[in-house]
Amino acid sequence: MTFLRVLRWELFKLYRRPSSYVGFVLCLVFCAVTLFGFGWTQYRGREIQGLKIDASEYLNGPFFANFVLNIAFFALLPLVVATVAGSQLAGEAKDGTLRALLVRPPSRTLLYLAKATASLIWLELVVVFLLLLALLIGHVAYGGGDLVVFIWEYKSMGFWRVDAGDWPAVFALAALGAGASLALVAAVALLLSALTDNPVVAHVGTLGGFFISTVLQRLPDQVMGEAFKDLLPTTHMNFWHEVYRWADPSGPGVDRARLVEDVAWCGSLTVICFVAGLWVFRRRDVTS
Amino acid sequence: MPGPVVLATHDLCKRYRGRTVVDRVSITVERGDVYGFLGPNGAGKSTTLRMVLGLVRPSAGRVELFGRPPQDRRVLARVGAIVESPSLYGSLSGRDNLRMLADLSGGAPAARLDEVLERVDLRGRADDPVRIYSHGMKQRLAIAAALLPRPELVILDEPTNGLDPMGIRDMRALVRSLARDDGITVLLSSHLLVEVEQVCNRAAIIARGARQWEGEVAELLSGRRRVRLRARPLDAARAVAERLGAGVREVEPGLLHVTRDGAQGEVTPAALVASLAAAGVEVDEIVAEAPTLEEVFVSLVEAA
Repeated sequence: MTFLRVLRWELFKLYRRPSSYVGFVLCLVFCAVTLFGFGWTQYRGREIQGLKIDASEYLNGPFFANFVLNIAFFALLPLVVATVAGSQLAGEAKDGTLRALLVRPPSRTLLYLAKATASLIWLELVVVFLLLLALLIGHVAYGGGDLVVFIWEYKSMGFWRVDAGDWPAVFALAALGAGASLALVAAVALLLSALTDNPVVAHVGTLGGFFISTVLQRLPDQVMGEAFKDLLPTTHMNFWHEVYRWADPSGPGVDRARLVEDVAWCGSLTVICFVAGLWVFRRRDVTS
Repeated sequence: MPGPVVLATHDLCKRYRGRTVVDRVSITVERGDVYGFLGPNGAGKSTTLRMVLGLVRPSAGRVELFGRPPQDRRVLARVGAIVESPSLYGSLSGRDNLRMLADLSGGAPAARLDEVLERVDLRGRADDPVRIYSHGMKQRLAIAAALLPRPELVILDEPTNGLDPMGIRDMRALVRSLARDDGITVLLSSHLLVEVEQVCNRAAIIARGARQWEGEVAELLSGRRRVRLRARPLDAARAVAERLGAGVREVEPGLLHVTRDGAQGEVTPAALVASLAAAGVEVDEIVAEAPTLEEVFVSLVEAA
């Protein structure tokens, strides 16, 4: 009961803080820029990775939404989650409001768990908002239809099609999966937020780590070997892409071994970072 | 007769990277006290209060709030506290700040919110966002938040910092009223001697991290009452005062300060004059003086 009470107020603070809405505004900007970019580069008439398909068959609302989600997952959403979660403790320490919370009965553990949960709920709201917004804009610009899927790491499988009646479930699972995967970024941001009184350090530290990992992961295998890439967190954060394979009845189906390995990696790292953040927060002196 | 102990610290220490900022501080606050925690800036007052409230972990020593350590979070429901500047959420209204902080302390009915807002004279501005409040309004709202759960102990860390003279006067009146009308024990940290002298019945003086003195404010001042004396011959006057058991100090040429609390009991100005006359000493000036807390404080801090 106390946890729910604290969580309610943490969500209320996010809801009333203007900076919490930067993520939603960025989603709108991101969709608009992507739409503009599609038109500008005449994406409609091009081939993708040498795979020939008539543009009129794939460029529609669901395709646009899926494209936006996949790009935003590595470009926009980490930024949003790092700023929201990174501000949770360090921001309150900087503003002095952490003192007001900690001189009251709820324990530090309870407060930390409520802040972590509020960050994850907010993150999921942003992911769902982005997806719904992209669907809306995509439908208005290109109309509806089946979802044609092209996933970079499955490029050898080419394109596949998800029926119009099936893609809402695929998107729902993708939104949940992407949110769960980004919980790792939230956990790192919370850990850094517990370590410092300056939210900028938590934001920059989290994003710096995420982008370094992403860049190293994207280097050719000749430069950065696969064994090393397996140690990078971002290598395992795409586990939610398995939902697209699950939706392809004619394909090879879900790669269960990869799914288990990636979920285990991400889940373990997320739990380790959350627990480490809690450990730090319970012991730190609040001097700000 | 002392009341039950509400707050006690025992040999509390805090070290940061080998530097001791609080050094074996022991204080005892009894029920009904308005207790002044007095010290110059940087003396370790806020760090001590943070340890009392569980914000900072002591390097050594312990804290008891109502006989329990502050890690027992239930005791914090009996305490209202403001540590340093008022810490409030600027994006929330004054009322929402109070609702949230009350909820975290176990909840309070809407009528109680109005009651405390009325008390700090903010009811008319309660629905405005706190970011547009003045510093004084924020300070008053923080006091309201501290009072919401009907605490038995209120800890106020430098509550008049940044207030204008009217705000300072109102704050002092509020502190007095908390103790007098509500029976709340108050621990008031301040570097303003006049504040402690006007408001507190008991106090501790802290300097360079260590407690220099603790006790009744009146006792501290009365124990240092003195007589200012100009007389001829000065050496004869000094000898007479010393025979009475008083301490004598020549503070400037021709001027003696004679302590009234002598080894053989109180040395009254009348008794001193009689003894001086009997010894043939001519008295040019004799004035009974009570030192201000400021003088006592400075002498204790300089001695530290």
